[in-house]
Amino acid sequence: QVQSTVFKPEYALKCGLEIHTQLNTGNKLFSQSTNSATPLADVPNHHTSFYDVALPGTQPVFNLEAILFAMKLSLSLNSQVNMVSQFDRKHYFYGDQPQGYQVTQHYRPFARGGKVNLSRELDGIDESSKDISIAQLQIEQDTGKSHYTDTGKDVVTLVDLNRSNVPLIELVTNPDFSDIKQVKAFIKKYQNLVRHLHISSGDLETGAMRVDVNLSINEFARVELKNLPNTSSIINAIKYEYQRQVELISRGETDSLLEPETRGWTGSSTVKLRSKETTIDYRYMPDPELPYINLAPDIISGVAASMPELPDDIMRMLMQK
Amino acid sequence: MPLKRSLKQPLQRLSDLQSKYNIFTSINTAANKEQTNKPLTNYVASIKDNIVTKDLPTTCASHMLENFKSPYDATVVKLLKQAGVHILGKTNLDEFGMGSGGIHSIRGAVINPLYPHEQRMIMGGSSSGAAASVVCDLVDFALGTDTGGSVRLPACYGSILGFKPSYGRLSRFGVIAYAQSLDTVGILTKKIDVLRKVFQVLDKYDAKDPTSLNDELRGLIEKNMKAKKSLKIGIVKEFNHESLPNEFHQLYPSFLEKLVNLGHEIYPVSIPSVKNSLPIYYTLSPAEAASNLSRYDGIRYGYRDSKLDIKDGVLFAPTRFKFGREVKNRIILGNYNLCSDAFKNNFIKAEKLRVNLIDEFDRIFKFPNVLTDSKGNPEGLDILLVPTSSKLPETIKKFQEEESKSPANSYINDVFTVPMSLAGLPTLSMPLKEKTPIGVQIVGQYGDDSTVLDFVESIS
Amino acid sequence: LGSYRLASTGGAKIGKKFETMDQIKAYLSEPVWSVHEYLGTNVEENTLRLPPVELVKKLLRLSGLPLEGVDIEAIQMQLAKQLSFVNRLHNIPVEDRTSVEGYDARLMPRQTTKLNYRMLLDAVKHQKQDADIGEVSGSWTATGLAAESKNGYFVVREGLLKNRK
Repeated sequence: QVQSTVFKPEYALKCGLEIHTQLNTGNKLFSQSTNSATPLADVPNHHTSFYDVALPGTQPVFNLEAILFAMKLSLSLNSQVNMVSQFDRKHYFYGDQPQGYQVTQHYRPFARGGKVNLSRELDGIDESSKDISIAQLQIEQDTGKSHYTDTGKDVVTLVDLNRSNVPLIELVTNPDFSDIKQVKAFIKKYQNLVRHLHISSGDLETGAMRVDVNLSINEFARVELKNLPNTSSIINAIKYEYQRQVELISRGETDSLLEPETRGWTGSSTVKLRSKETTIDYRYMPDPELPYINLAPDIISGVAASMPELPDDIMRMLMQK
Repeated sequence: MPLKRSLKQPLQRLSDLQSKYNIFTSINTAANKEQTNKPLTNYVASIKDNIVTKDLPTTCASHMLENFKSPYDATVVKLLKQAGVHILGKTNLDEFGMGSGGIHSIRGAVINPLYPHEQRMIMGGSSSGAAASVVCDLVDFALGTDTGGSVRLPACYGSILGFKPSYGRLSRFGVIAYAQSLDTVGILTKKIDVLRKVFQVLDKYDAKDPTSLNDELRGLIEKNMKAKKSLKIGIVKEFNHESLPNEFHQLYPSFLEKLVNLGHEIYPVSIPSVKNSLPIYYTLSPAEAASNLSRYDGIRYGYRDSKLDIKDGVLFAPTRFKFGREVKNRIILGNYNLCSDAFKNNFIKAEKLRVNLIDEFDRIFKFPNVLTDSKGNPEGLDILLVPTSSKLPETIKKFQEEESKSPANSYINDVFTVPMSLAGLPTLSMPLKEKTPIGVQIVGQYGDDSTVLDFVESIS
Repeated sequence: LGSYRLASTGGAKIGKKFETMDQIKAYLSEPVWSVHEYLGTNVEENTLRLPPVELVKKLLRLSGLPLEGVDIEAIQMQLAKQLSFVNRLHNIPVEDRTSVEGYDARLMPRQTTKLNYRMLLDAVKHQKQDADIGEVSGSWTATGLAAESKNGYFVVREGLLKNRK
């Protein structure tokens, strides 16, 4: 069924992506504990400082290397870097969230705007050229990792905080995608870019890059798709969800599409995780102790001058020869 | 000079005072190592039990951290140890620093040693044990924490000195957060020279604390300092309010007369925004507290429910149920203030009004404010005088009754102390009369701690 | 009694120097305001607007506190009293200097040093791990303080995951 999905013009797909990219800085975001490049081989909870485990009395100290990496990415996407940005707390309880909140950027993110150009020539999309615009880029900390074990009687989660406080960049695109090829091409291109800039391994398999999808059809409410471990599940989840919604619309059963909801991917279908009524209120609060990021203008020109030539420019140059 | 006898504290006296006044949460039984040639050799101190220590448990007087032992020392503790201080024990407090009576502790209320213990008078909070340890002469000085008055009120009720330095001067690394935008470490003692020495040892930039005042700004403050004999002193109109005790009215004029005779000038001053301080404080501080206390879930350290980590679909509820009543009240209020609907009306509004308050203080002080870039008012004042408390200590029973009628009844105890916390001003509460729980606060501009200390020294 | 009204902000003023002790005494003897009246702490319980039960339940959930076995009515009353106090903020006008930003409320420099390119590279180069605060991998056992752990992992007993809200 998934393979045979046909995208019909009368059911217009509107889709945007939220991509979390782990930065391969030497140390973590608000402590100097090791940001391990080989998470699978690690002893659990080995790379954790007192801060990473949220011991009482610990405080965050910002690792400026994350600025360097975020700056490189922002400049290569033509995003507008905010000369002053700030960290905010996003609150929710979870076993692998040791502080009970994640430090992220909500009110004044690191950068806004910018775009990625996709073309038939370089990316194999149907249109000759298409811009995917960027809403914003924010620096934030990763959570730990949960391993679920089901003993039959009850569920126990084993929590490893090696990943806790690893720097992430969350990139949010506008809902500019109108078909699957564009999504595929964008992910590939973005992956290639972060590797080229040496800021991340960009691997979906290891979780170094994680993609959530926002999707809506014909101005119905937005559905967010989560837990998409690789490119094929991203593609298949979009196809499945498109098909599911088209069927609901064509049958006139659109009640469930009026409110936004969050759905997960099981490997063969999407399932509802939560709807609006149970949506968590994250209670964003400006972090009361982290200083604002205040940039001097020369930082932009400095980083720009240090950047390698971008992949698209190299390709175009090669093709002109 | 340190109290020589406290070095070899007869254990009997210590345990006698402990059973009467409930001062400590834990006592260091190790003998004092004799050290020489350190700035604070032979000094004995107590540490409030929301400041982490390697050698003694850190409980915050909460079930959530019963039996918790930190793997590291707070920077302030480290500095004291390096200076040769002997730490006698950790002191009782209102759970996580939340309270003004010193009664909200899993170890029970601290009793004020200024009164016969049978009377069961409150010590004031939240640094209740810290104050009591000084009042009883068990230590030369105590470290407390002051978020909205928690050092100054118990110091006043114990008729001792309580100093809350400028925000950011003493490191908060290892100080368990209540509301970081306001939390400060403070010093309680009977003697101004001891206070000064301890302050000098602790007054250092700490890279581990992102809010620590950096060396560049410390240098700038130093440059702005001018020694002066005669000060321009302001009495703030808005702190003149009807509920001040008669005893204050009796003692205060002669104190002022003494200052006039010493050649100081006294001015009336109006700072209208101080009237807004309590609603600002009780919007911001519970919000920060709700956020800071969300890490106590039992998973990684501290108390944990023996059976469950989830109840009624709420993760960690079985463990977090063990927070005390007052802490729960503030968490709920804090989350209300942070919810998207209230955030703009309450939290943001409170922040803006806090800016107004800071700006008003800037307008009346002569000393520049290095944080706001205020150049200082050339015609401005050097210090302000503010009563410390609107009430005398009352019995624990009466305090509990008032508080159970409305939480606001105990919040009002902070009316004279909170404005300076919001602006981060160096403030020292000193008794107006020996062994009498009536105090006045000496307030300086941000960063101008030395004028406050000099002044108190000059009149002591 | 005008002075009982909400404070207008911005009017910080220093008056004329006191010349005599009598002037000071007279100044001190005029009570300016009543904190109870100002903050509405003397309102009657029956005039308070109670926050709805659903809101209280939502707040308990967000606070990580149990919903069962708690006195919801008491929490409603408690919150109502707290709010009658903090909501006084709503009617206080903010003084309009060019633009008052909440950002400036923190007790840190309003104008922090701007990070330039050289400082950035310098900071990146001079990163140092501190074993005193557990930053060196393996320098302490993170699960050593936990009531329960398994094979070096922290353990969360989720019960039945489906019951999660």
